[in-house]
Amino acid sequence: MNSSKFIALNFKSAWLRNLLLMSSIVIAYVLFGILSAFQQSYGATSSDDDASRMITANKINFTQPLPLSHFHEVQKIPAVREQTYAAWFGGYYQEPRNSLHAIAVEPQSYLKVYGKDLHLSDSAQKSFLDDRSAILVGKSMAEQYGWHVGDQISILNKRITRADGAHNWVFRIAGIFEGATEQIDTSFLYIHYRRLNEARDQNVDTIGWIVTKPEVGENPSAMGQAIDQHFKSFTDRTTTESERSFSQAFVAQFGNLALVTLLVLAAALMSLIMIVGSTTALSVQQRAREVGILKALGFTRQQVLQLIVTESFSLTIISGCFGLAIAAGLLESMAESFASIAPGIAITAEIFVAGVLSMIALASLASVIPALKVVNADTATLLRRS
Amino acid sequence: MTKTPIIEVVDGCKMYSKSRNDAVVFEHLNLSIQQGEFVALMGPSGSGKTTLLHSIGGLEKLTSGQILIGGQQIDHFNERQLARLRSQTIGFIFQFYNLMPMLNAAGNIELPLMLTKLGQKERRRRVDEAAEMVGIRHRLKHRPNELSGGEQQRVAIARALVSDPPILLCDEPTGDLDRATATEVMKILQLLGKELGKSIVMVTHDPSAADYADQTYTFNKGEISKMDRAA
Repeated sequence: MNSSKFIALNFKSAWLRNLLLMSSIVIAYVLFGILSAFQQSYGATSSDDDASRMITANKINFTQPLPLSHFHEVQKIPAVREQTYAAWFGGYYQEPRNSLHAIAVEPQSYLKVYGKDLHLSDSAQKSFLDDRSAILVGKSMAEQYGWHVGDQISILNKRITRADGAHNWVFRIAGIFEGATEQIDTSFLYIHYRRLNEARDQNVDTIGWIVTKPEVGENPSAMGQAIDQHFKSFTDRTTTESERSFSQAFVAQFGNLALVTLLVLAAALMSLIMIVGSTTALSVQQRAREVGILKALGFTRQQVLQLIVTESFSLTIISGCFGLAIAAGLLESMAESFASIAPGIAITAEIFVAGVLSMIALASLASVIPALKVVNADTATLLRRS
Repeated sequence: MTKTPIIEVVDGCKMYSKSRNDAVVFEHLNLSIQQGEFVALMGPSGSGKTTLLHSIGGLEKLTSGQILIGGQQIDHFNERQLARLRSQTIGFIFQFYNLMPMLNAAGNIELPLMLTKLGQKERRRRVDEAAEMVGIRHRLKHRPNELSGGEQQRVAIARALVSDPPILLCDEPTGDLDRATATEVMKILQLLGKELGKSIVMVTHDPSAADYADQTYTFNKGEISKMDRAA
């Protein structure tokens, strides 16, 4: 018999309680992993470029359109080096539940500003630029609907009526972009703005937002202020912010439900941690008799403490790591579904380290403090109690 | 030449503080036990028998006075020294056996050997030897809940013997056993004293158990007196 065998036998003796306790820890760390991954993904930077990209939208709200003429006005501002524009298209594929994140863009300038992020072949770019019915589809969206390059797809859009009264829009897939990094959302598709603008019967010559990049050495925020200053006297005034802030505001449209879910999960996680903590603390206190016997046999306080704490730490860390592994598996399998609100969501090394540190903290609080109390108690009192 | 007693209590005093009043358990207690001697401590409940036993075993400290084990004064021992004393010099036997329920008999007997550097083979030999000595070898694979009271106490005696300590401290070892089983256990303890030279201090309420001892001391109102065997 050695310490490990003693601990294993002790674990086995209360296997049901320990199994339930381990299950609670596993669930707690599945939630911890998922929550942390979401948290990290929300604040993630998609690429180095997006730090310098600024988005100009209508000052009232970004859902309000801007006149296309604003784009030409922006070109006059000296601090601006590159610019493009886009408008929300939306629609759905086959059934309303298959809603699409579809954006109408000015292809030439859009690829100039975002080409590096999209990671698209030259032939795909050319194929997109040459045909107004061509679209670019993100990898995760293409995988979700089983689309391939060259496929003709039909998108229904009840919000935008074509001039002929129809709501049906047929496109050809010119290319599938993979995204230069994992954080880049590939659950989008891009159509030609001119195709939208020429066919629709209202909001003609309006756009959703303008994307700009500053001249080398120019401060992006200063450029943004210059843009807003330029439009100060226009009917449609603007507000310019970094792409990251804009994306977060955009995500917030869909994110409120996610936020509520996250809060519920966080509450569940805290409850589980408290249950695990109190159960562990109670089980340590119930071992007063065992502690008394071991001390009477000649075990030192330190040796007894080591036995109890090792058992508690092993139980917490094995279960916690298993929980994080399950969270990683779940996130991997659900990455596509979360791609639009949390691109590149995964259990990163940072989350793993934070998880292990919290396991150590949990095990310490739950076992070391009550174990110290029991181990430091008078041996004769412990034996009398038994 | 006078032999050095293996256990010596000199002017022992134990008090418990209860709010503003001190309750005296015993005072001016002197006791001397030789190597191989079997001593029984008797007396009414709360008279201080178990307190004295625990003090000899280093589980409790005297309020004043001295306890010497093998000539060494243990009153000033630190926690580590007391633990070493218990693991090498003293074996405890309790009324309710105090076995670990998750370990089988062999595991329980082996427990004190976890504190030694002995190899697995030597440990197994010692466990077998101790179990053989108390007649429990055939039940080594059984857990405490599969053993009778007498068998559990035999396992507890084997556990106390396995590291070959010169002193055995027994707290009412037959208190939870029927007459026949208690007699068997007492014969084992007597044998350990006579054949292996163990010094045994036994707390008991049972006069017939005390009959197996070489000396019986009675506690009464905080004082200890040697019982006249002839009487």
